Amino acid sequence: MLSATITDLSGRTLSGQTLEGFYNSIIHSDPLSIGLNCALGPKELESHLIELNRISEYFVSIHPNAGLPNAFGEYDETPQSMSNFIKNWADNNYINIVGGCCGTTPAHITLIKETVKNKKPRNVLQKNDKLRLSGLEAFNY
Amino acid sequence: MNKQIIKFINIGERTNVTGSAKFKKLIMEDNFEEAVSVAKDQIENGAQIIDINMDEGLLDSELSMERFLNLIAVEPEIAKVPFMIDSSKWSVIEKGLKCVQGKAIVNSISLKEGEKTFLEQASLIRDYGAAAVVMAFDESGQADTVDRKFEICSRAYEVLTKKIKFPPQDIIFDPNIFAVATGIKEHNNYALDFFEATKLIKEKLPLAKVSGGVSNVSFSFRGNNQVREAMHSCFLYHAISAGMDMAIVNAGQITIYEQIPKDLRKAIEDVFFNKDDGATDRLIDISTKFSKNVEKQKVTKEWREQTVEERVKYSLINGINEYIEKDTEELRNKLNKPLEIIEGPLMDGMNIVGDLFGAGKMFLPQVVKSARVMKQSVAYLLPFMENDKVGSSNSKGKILLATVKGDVHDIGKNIVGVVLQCNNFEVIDLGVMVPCQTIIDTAIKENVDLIGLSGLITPSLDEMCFVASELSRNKVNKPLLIGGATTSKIHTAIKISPLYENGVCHVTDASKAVGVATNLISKSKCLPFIESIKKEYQELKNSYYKKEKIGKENNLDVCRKNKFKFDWNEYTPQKPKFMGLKVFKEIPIKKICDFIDWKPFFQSWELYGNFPQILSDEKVGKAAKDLYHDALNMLEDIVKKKLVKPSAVVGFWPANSELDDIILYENDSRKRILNKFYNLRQQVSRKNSDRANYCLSDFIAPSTSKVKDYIGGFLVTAGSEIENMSFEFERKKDDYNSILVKSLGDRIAEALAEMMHKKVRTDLWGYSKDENLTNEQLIREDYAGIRPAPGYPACPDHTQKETLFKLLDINNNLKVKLTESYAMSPSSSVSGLYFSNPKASYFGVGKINKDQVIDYAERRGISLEEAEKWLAPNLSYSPKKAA
Repeated sequence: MLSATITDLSGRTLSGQTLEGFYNSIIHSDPLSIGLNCALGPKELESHLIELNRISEYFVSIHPNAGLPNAFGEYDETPQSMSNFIKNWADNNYINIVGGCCGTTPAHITLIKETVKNKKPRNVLQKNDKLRLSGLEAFNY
Repeated sequence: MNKQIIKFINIGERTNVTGSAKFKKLIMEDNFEEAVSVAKDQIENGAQIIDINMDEGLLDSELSMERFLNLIAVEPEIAKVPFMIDSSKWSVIEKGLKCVQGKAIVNSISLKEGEKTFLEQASLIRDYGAAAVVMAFDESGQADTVDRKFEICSRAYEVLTKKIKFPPQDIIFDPNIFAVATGIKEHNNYALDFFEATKLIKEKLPLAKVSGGVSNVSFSFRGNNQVREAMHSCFLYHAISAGMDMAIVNAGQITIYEQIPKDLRKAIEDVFFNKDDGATDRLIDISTKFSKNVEKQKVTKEWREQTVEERVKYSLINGINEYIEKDTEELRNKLNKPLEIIEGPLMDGMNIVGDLFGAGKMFLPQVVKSARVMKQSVAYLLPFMENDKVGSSNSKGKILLATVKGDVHDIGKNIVGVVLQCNNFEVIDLGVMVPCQTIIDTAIKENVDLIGLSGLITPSLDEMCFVASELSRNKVNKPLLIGGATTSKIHTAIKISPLYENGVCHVTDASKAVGVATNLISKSKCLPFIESIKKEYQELKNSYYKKEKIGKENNLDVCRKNKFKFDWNEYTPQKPKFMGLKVFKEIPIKKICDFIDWKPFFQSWELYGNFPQILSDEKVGKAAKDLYHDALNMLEDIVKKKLVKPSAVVGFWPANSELDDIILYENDSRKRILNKFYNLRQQVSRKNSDRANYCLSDFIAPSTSKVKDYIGGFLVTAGSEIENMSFEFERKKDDYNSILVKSLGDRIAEALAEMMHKKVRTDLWGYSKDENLTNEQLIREDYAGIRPAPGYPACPDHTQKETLFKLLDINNNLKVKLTESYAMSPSSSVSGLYFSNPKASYFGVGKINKDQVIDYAERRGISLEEAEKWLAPNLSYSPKKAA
């Protein structure tokens, strides 16, 4: 199981790769799942999840944090506000595995569990047969 | 890029010590930094993957591979593409694989040492997560015929996919491209063998790819680049038709197939397809017709037939740099000394340029282009010159130029420098943010004849005063030129001139600078000229103080009562969509371009007139059109290659006004104050007018009104890449493009400010949702609300930028810094405040009285002296100098 973190609004990993660039560099490991965790909060994570859903030929996992710590060092996403996001993702069949990262509490996880209880998991994409290379960015041929 | 179907992949071949003499030289000299630029150039020229090879006997190939890969890994423009790690030594390949982050291609492995080694290496490649080039090579040697090629490739395919489950799409066969037309009969079918083998591989080995090193094919025509390039292009054309997916090529040098002369193309294709025994001879015959210079001769214009002196002159006057090195070399063989070339034909040409410019027959962009030709010619000659003669001996005079400390703006200064050089001045340009001491030291050490100071922001005025007094104290008795957007004749006359005895002259633009400088260095004209200026400035000074006496009737209280009146009961300010900050990174430059206001662009090149009429102007039309053309080309390049990364931060806060201050609150409950903007009020007498004495706070609802009002703030920047590009051009002695890219950077920043303002009005703040204005209307500011910037007429105090930077959290959001004079660096940046009030309008604060300055200093909690320092250009009185 592999999880990546998009660390800022540039939409890249800490070492500069786009999500698809990263994806191309690790698929040779034939993982069970590929996912995203942290880093800015569920709202900022959403567009990357949609991208991962578009490309991933493996199960997709998602572990958002409860937002960035505010001025008092507290996390602003409540169990409810986070579950709202996750409900939307589950309804769209974006995810197979779900949980929480920094700032989430047992209360968050409990509510997330309730939220996805009867939802349908994501369908894994069929493996494509392109030559897929990457530097910081993906190059598919 | 990866969504569309790419029909063919260009792999850059230049970062290969066995293929590129230049790259090899750089690596052998341990000049890895420059070698990195080879990689960059290739990508700029269209390489989608770059091949890297360090196989050279005298090199530690493992170490060099590691070092080079690590260096390019931190260059985003290079690291974005996949790398091809190329070596015949497995240890080098493995070293490379350990360095790369992405999914690379290994070039190459083969069955040369048997199946066991082959599969071991392939498994490792798989573990490292790379694709592999497999060469058509086995235990008995390299395959040259179609049968052998296909036999080896199918065997490799078989064992890779069956025995170690290597994904077939990650196998790239290299069925060997060999030289043809070598005179050896056995070689005649090599090209055809390659095409046929490619067809077979693509047909019978599903998903496998085919690649090859194309340059090999033309090996027997070394030295005849035109024929070689034509051969490469023909080869690619047919190999791609046969199914080749990628090739290692010199990405910048692929001739267009259709443009190869028909007779040459036929001769080449006869060789490739082995038409008959005479094919090679026919190609050799025809190739002599296409030796190096033939191509150039074919496009030769009449002026190329003249003597070399005339040609150089023509190049200079017309700003053509295409032939200048060649012509300079010819001159070098003709004349005895490089210096004679500079002082002879080159100066002759530049004198004509100077005369035409002086006569208004040439314009600034053209002159800067001429200077580029001159500089490139001189740069070519430098290595041949005796050490002591490098600085041209009979220059008219030496002038030192500097943008003063705290200021980063230099377009105007650079233009002045170029124009002075064209007029045979020797220019020592110290660049931007130059400390006073450096100016003094250099002036003394170099014994310069003149000193030119430049600045764009108002605090630079004070720094110029300081430099003037220090120059005086250090007895640097050389005339001083003052220029730049913030400077004025009146300021020079009143503030700088009294500090410096040896002549101070304000110059408005580059064309004026030449005349002034020429007068100042002339032995006979200098003193009378200085005296006449002194007299002029004295008169200015007298009339200024007469005019600016401000009466009691417009003290601050009176002006505050005459504020701009607005009925707050009838108006509910729109609440912005969000409170706090929003950051926009890497905004697509293409969108920004729609908002460019071209008029100031032409102004920065001293071409005055409205856009687009200026392009067809009788007098400056041609110069404007050429400049516009070059600007659009550069812009297209910037857009295409995403060379700049414009960003922006926008913020909104609840706000109310209290007298002249604007109070920003932490949130809409308006209990806790976040920060304050301190504003200045117009203090000109309105005794005989019904106009108000404006202050920015008048546009925000007073806290006593209980109306919930808001204010916005922004900072946009074209990004630091502009300065890097400009520097890179400068390094190549290309002032023209160096200045061009900077003046474009300023336009991009301004356009981005315009674009973000529109987004704010129609969306983020949304108080003008239905606005529908053309770019012309935007430029005319037909919209509701304003976006005044600190340092500009409505809020002249530059130090307010500090508050704005804090509010926008610039340190964490953007790579823009404030200098000690509150100039933004990089300079292609714009910041300001947003006001949504429909009646808000731009105005200038103008002159203010001491009572307001005292009040302002008190409100801000700073000393009167400090307030006077930052507001110097606005003071209606002459402040006492602080002890």
